[in-house]
Amino acid sequence: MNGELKVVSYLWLFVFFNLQLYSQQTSREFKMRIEPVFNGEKLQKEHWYISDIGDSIQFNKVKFYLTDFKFDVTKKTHQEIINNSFLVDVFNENTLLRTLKRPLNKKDSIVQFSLGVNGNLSESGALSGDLDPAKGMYWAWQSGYINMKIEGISPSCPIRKNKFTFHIGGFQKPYPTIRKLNFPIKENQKEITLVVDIATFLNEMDLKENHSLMMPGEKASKLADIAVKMFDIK
Amino acid sequence: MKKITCFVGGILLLSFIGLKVKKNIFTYPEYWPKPIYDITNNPVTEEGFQLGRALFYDPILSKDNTISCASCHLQASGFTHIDHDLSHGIEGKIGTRNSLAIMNSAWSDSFMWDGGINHLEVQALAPLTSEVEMGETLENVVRKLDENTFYKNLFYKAFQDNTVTGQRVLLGLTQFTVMLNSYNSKYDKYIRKEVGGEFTAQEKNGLKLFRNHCSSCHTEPLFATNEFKNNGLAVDTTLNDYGRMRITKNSKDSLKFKVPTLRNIEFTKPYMHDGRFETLQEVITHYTNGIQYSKTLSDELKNSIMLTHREKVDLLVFLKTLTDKEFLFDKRFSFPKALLTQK
Repeated sequence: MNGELKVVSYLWLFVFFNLQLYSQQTSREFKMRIEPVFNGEKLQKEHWYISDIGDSIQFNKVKFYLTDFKFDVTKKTHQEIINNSFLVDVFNENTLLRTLKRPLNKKDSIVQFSLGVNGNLSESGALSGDLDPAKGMYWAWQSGYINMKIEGISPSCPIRKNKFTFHIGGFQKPYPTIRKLNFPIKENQKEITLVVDIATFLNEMDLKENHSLMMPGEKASKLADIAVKMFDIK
Repeated sequence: MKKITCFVGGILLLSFIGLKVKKNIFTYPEYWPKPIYDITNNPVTEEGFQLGRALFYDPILSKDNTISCASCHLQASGFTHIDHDLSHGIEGKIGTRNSLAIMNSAWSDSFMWDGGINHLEVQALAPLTSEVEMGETLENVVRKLDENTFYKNLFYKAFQDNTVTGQRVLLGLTQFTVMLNSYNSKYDKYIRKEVGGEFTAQEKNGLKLFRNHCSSCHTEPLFATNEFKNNGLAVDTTLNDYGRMRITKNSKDSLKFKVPTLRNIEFTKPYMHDGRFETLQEVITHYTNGIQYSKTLSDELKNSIMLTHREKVDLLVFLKTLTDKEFLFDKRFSFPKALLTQK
């Protein structure tokens, strides 16, 4: 009896270590650094910037979700990364470096992810981690995630305290606001730097006329089209 | 000897599992439809239910610690705000709608009069963050609860870990509200042919009239549907509330509101999304004589409902058989006395 028990234990250990080894062999760490800038200059909280339109601007909140990371999307065998919804707060260094598992691949490939949270997650009730509604990125009414928040002040905004507030979200047709991003990666690449240039967004906003949005709809969808242009790799 | 050892070991293992796996206490009548809310994702345990119950009755959820969920959802009135056409929140601020009765929520696929909330677990976020209701943020609620040993203990009991998160606050509240199920009215006993469910001739006629004129929208056994209907109410120009259209931005949804349950209707006054009717007689008279025609008027109301005075009385008598006093006075759902001694 004791002998049988030993054999079973050894078998389990063998299977366990092989699974660990297999897992290490089929994937490796892939880091994504997020670099927030304004016209190439490092983005700082409550620092004055000037947009191409000539507006003076300060930012106090820039947050967005990056979700649904996938590698090798061109192949049928693409690998989806589980639990990969990240909330990025550009003024919180801890959120600017993310580590993913990239499947081993001997060819150049692409990494694909979404700016925003998909409708399925927006209709899944109370979630945890970065998707916890306590993160302040969930609309109570017209429930669903806010994909991106850009807030700050500008003397150009003709409203109380000169605030601008852009909350971009909404997942229902015909105005979904989630946007896909794809970037090429080399065979042995272990890291990618994602540059987020907030100026790209503000350069297209006339803050005298357009300084506030806090609901889903056509305007949110148009702003999502602009927001996705902020992202590029270095 | 080996067999005895295995048997004892098995028993011990089963006891251990029994201690670890907490019992799901959510139940409903077997002849009811399957709930829409997937209870397997948030099984209701006694500990989770008690956490949700404390949260539901505690004004700690509001910005100035003055308003709880129960302020607008009183048990004795079917968990709605009796005698208030529009509910009021912190600092006496007045909302724009009549609070809905909370019951049988697991069978709803959207919440609020306009269906603006898409999941039971996030329903509480709306009143919690509304400036005219509780005016708080979930982040701040998490902070307040995390500093409170009474709640840390309740979270530990419910989740085997005393970490307070937004998700756990919402799941706890859901475990309480999903248990608020009414199925022991005289009508239910009549359907189940139980003692106490004997209908009078008048009640039977009322049920017949109900099935002829009302049940296409207020469908048994829940006396509600997950639909939005324009029930012919004129717009209150002080509110200009167009209901579902606010969410969908589709003019076809103009003046459509959620079809509410009629269970415990005797005690959930006032009625309609803006609480314009004080009595059930007024409601019945609206359906027989007060329908305002508009493009989105519900098909069911395009032909007039003709009822004699006697039929109206019979219908009213039937509606009162939907009162479930076991539910309205169930001590499991009442204010938890532990809240009084917690601080």
